[in-house]
Amino acid sequence: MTLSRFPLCTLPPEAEALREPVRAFLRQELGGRPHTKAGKSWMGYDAEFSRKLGAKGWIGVTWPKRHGGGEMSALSRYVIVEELLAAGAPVIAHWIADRQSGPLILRYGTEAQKEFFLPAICRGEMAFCIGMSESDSGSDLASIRTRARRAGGAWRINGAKIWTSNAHRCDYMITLVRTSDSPEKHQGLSQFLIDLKAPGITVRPIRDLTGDNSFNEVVFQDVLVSDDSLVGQEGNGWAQVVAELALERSGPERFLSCHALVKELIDRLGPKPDARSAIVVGGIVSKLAVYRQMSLSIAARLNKGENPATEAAYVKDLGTTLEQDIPEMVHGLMESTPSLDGEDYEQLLAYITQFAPSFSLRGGTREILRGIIARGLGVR
Amino acid sequence: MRALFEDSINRILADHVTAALLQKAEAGEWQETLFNLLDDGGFARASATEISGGVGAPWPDLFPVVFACGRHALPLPLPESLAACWLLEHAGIPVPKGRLTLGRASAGTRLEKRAGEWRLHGSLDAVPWGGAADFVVTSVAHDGGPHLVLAKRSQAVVHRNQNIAREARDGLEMSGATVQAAVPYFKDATNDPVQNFGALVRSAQIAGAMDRMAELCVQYANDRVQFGKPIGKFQAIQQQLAVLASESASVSTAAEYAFAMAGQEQPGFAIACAKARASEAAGKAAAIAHAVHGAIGFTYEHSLHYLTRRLWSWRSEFGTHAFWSEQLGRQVCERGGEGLWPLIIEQQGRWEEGGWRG
Repeated sequence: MTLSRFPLCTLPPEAEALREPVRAFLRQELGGRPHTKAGKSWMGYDAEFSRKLGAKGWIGVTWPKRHGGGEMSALSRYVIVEELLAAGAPVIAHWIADRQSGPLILRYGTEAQKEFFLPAICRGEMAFCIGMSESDSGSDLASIRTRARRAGGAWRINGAKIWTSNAHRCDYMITLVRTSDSPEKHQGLSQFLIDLKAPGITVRPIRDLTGDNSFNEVVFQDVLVSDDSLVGQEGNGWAQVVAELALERSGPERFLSCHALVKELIDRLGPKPDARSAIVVGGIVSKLAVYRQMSLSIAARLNKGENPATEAAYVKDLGTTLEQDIPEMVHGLMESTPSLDGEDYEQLLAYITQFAPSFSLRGGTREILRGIIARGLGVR
Repeated sequence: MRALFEDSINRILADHVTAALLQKAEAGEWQETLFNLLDDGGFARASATEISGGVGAPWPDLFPVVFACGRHALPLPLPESLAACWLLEHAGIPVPKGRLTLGRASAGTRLEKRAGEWRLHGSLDAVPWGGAADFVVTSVAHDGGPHLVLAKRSQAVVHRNQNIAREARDGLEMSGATVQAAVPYFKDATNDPVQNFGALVRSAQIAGAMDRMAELCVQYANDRVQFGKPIGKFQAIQQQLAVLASESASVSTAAEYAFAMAGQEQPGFAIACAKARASEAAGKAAAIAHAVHGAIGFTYEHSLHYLTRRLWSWRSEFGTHAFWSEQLGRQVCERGGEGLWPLIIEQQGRWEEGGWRG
């Protein structure tokens, strides 16, 4: 009670009212899809699906109506998001923009930026990626070297970003660059909105170990961007990025990445499992229910305008640890042979087994999160 | 009510639950003065309505009280008394004057109605301060469903026993003894109500003990200097403290969620989640706390063990992690994979204007 705050929260009726319509839409759009596809969860790409979701008014729901949003609360958004993820919907074509790029533009952007980007995001027609890591700057994000220098009324960008999820299919990147040299590495950083079709940009796909192309290297060679592309204040990039990460770390995507496998496990065990199997399933369920309460508590605090960045680290660490344990528990419980060309379940297990290491890397590694928690405790 | 409870219970317990008092309690001495102080303060039967000498406090308001009992390692059956009063009233049994506790009936224990009187054949195992209580509330399967039973301790033969924390856990043998009342318990009739509400209060006590333990660890890590700096400056220690804090936070959330749901028709799911989570985390947390404290924490003189030995005891009482996980797992498997997510949503709290209500 004294060390962290996760006040209980539940969903107001107007948020809860969205659940059935969203479920009905998902049944109609995704019914009969193979489990392997649901297993990709929020890395699944389907531009058509995102456009249909946009047409329903379910992207950018918290944003002002004049920018295409629905002026609903963050708790209404929470219902939509958790239903999409529990169903394993392919969301990556709009997900990043809805979760963090849009909110960043809304908070720090100019009126012109809001008018240009937000309505297109809400329609599900504009995909974003996040340019943070570089080859020599992973966890030590503030050490980035990609540089923007003033060139007349514009900026000239040189450098390279790496591990950029989905960049090969995105329209824009919000990228963190160094705009001035400072002895303090957290200063002199700024964020830019960059059109990925601009001259001088090369997107090089990087194959991940599953064989997919989930992330990329993005190289900037004398890329010219106008002053209008700066998001927020020049030099305020670090504070903006930290606020953005609170949005990225506490959502239901941090404990539902393996949901397709959990459902399949339950179906394979059948209605009368042996004691050992029931214990494993119950152990997963108790954590899912509790971590959801913690995540919801953060959503309520974000909704009130607070910035529970430390609590978000708790949820991500707990949630991703569970997600990584799930395929291991499945292997420990039943005869399973993951295979790439076998039946649907074997492919699902193969995919999640391979993809699981990324759960505690993307969005801040486990060690970094625990460092944030330790700082909150007062030992750092 | 909640904030008032929280302040006053923490003040009383901080003043009175000293190492000296804990040592006397461990030696088997019933802490009469402190119990009376808490009883006079309205805490022992706060869950009962005014007719029964309580204030009718709902479970969400009682969460900080039971949490505080865990934080301060209170060696008295206050949480049991709160659960006993609440169960009696919900079964329609008047709450008697006197000290109440809660106990699980051993397998094979049965009820018999003879000449208008109820008799209990069997025994209650490991009843918290069973020997010091005036009454014990238990539940026994009878006629196809659980019956809530109020028994007088004086009717039982007491076999003294203690848990790892040297808290009294007495066996009460009742071979055909008359009981005060036995009433069918319809609420959430699929479960044993004593097991349920015992697990509920233990989950909050575990949360409280873990919370305090995390504080002690942080304080020790900041004070203890090795290799020229506080050990909390080492990443190896920081990472362990972070794990402890996360486990502690998740157990607190789980227990508070269960308290918010406890007054509902079907509180079983939330209670199962809370006790499964608390029991699983307890051992992990105790291990980290001892690792951080080193040898001093292993001494009887240091007060860490009052918390860790309780965690090792409480995690098994009223159902282990395995017991509650199995209950949950069976419930989920019965419904199939597609039923899991809707179940979690159905079991979330309901909205009321002004905040959370289970």
